Amino acid sequence: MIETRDLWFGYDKMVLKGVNFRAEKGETTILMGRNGVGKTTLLMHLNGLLKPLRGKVLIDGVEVKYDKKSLKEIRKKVAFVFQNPDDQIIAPTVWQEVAFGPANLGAERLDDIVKEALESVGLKGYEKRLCSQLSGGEKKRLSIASVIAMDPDYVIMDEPAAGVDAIGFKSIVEIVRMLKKRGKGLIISTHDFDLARKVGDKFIFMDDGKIVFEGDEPDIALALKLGIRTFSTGKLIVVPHNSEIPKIDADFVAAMGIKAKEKAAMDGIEVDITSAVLERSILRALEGHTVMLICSREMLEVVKREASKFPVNLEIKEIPKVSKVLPIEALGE
Amino acid sequence: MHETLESVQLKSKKVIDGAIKVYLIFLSLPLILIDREAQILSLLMFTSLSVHAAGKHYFRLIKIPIFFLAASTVVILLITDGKEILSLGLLRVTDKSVEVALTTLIRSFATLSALIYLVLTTTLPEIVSAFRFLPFFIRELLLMTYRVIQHLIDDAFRLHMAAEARSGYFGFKRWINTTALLAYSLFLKSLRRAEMFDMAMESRCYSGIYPVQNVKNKGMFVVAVIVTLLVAGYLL
Repeated sequence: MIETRDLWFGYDKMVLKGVNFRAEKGETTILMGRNGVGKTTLLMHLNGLLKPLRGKVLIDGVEVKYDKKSLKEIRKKVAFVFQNPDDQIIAPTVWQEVAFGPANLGAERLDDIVKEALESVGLKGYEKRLCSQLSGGEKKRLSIASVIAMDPDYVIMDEPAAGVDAIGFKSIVEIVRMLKKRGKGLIISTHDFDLARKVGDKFIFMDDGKIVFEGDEPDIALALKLGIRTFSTGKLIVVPHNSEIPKIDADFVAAMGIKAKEKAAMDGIEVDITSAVLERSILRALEGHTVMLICSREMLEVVKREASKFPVNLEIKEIPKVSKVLPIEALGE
Repeated sequence: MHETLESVQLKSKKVIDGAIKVYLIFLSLPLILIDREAQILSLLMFTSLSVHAAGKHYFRLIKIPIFFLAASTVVILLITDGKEILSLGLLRVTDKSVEVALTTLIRSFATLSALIYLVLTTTLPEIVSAFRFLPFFIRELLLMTYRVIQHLIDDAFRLHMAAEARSGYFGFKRWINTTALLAYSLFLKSLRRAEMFDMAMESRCYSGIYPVQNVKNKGMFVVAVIVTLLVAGYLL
C-alpha cells in the first residue's frame, strides 16, 4: 500500500495541505480534481520525486527516506508515467528508451525485457524506431512500456488519456487492466470520467490541496461542484411528491410512481415522461436537457443512487411543505 | 508535416547495415583520399548505393555540398598558376589548374558520396552503437545531445508555425522581432526541458548507464566486394 500522512508541500503558497492518501496494491485508484489542485504534486511525492515539507510517505509500510540508495529502491517499486510523454522520453530510439530503466537497475537480457514490454503496449517491432518519429499515442504507450519494463509494484500515471483519440483511449484502458491483472497497484490522475469509470476501483477527489472525497463510486454531483470535467451539460432535478413543486424552466417533466403523478395532476403540471421514468429521465439529462423528476418520497434514495451512477448534474429540490394529496379517484383523466 | 532526415534514414533501403557499414565508410576514407582509382570506384559504388537507398533524397541532400564544391572548383580553376590553356580576360585557366581542380572535385565528390551514403542510411544511435569502444561519457553525451536536439527542433518547428499562423514574419522588422522572441522562448523551453529530462532520468533510477543497442550486421558480401574493388583500385 502507498500511503501519505499529513503531507504538506508548497513553495510560496502551499499546494498540498495535510493530504492523507491511500492506494492499495492490485487496485486502481483514480485521483481527480480540477487543474492546479495539487494532483501532480501529490503523485510526484509517491515515488520520491518531491520531498514533503511536512508529513510522510509510506510504501508498503516503510517510510520513504530521501538518500540516494533509498530513492533507488522506491523508484524500483513505484514507477511514474509523466503527463507529457516528450518530458519522459529521454533516449533517441525506442529500444534505448525502454531499456533505460532496466539497464540502470542492472537487469540482464535487455532485448527480451524490451520486446516483452513493447508487446504488452502494442508496439511490437518498434525497437529500432526513433522516438521523434512516433505519433502522440505511440509516444504515450512507449512511456508506459518504459516503466513496465522496470517491473514495478505500483504504476503512477499522470493524465494517461489526455490528448489521445478513441483508439488510443481503448489501448490505455487495456494497458491499465492488463497491469491490474498482473497485480500492480495503479494510481491514475485523470480528468476523464470515461477512463475513471472504466478502470477505477477507488475514487479520490482533490480540491485546494486537500482530499475532499474518497469512495468506491465517483460522486458526480460533487465532481461538478469541484469543477471536475464530466461532459454533462444536462440537469436532473428531483422533487419528492410531498414537497412544493418549484417553478423550473424544465425541458421535460417526469413523474415516477402513483403519488408523484397525483401530485403533478393536482398542481396542473403536464407530465412528459410517465413510463420507464428513471431511465428516460437520465437519458434526457445525458442528452443535455433539464429534466424535473417528481418521485414518491419512498423512491428518493433509489433515484439518488441510480442517477449518481451517470454523469448527470443531480439536484434534489426539497421544500419541506407537505401538500395536500388528493386520492387518485378524484383526478379522473 | 515536414520530412526529416531521420525519417529518410529509417525508410532507406539498406543493402549494408549494422556496425560494419560504419566501419566500411570510415576505413574507406583514407583510401579514397589518396588514390584516384579508389576515388572513381568509390564515387560510382556509393552514389549507386545512395540512389538505391534513398532515391530523390540523395539528390536533395547533395544539392548544397555540390553548390559549394562547384564554386570552389571554379575558383581553383581560375587562380592556379601554370601553362595557360584558356584566357578569359584577366582570368586564366592553366594545365595545372585543370589538374588540381579535377583532383579536388573527384576526391571531394568521392568522399562526399561515401559520407552521404552513411548519412542517408544510418541514424546517430547506430553510429554511436558502432563506436561502443569509445569512453562511456562520450557516448552518453552524444546520445543525450542528440535527443535534446530532437526536442529543440520539434519545439522550434511548433513555435515557428505558431508565429507564422499569426503573420509573424511579414516585413523585415517583424521578422527580426519574431525571430528574437522565438529564440527567447526556445531558450526558456530548453531550460524547462532540461529540468524534466533530469527528473525523467531520476524517476527511472539513473545510475550512469545509457544503454546502446547492437544492430545486426547485414550485407557482408557487398562489403567484401566494395573493399576488394577499392583495394584493387589502389594496388593497380
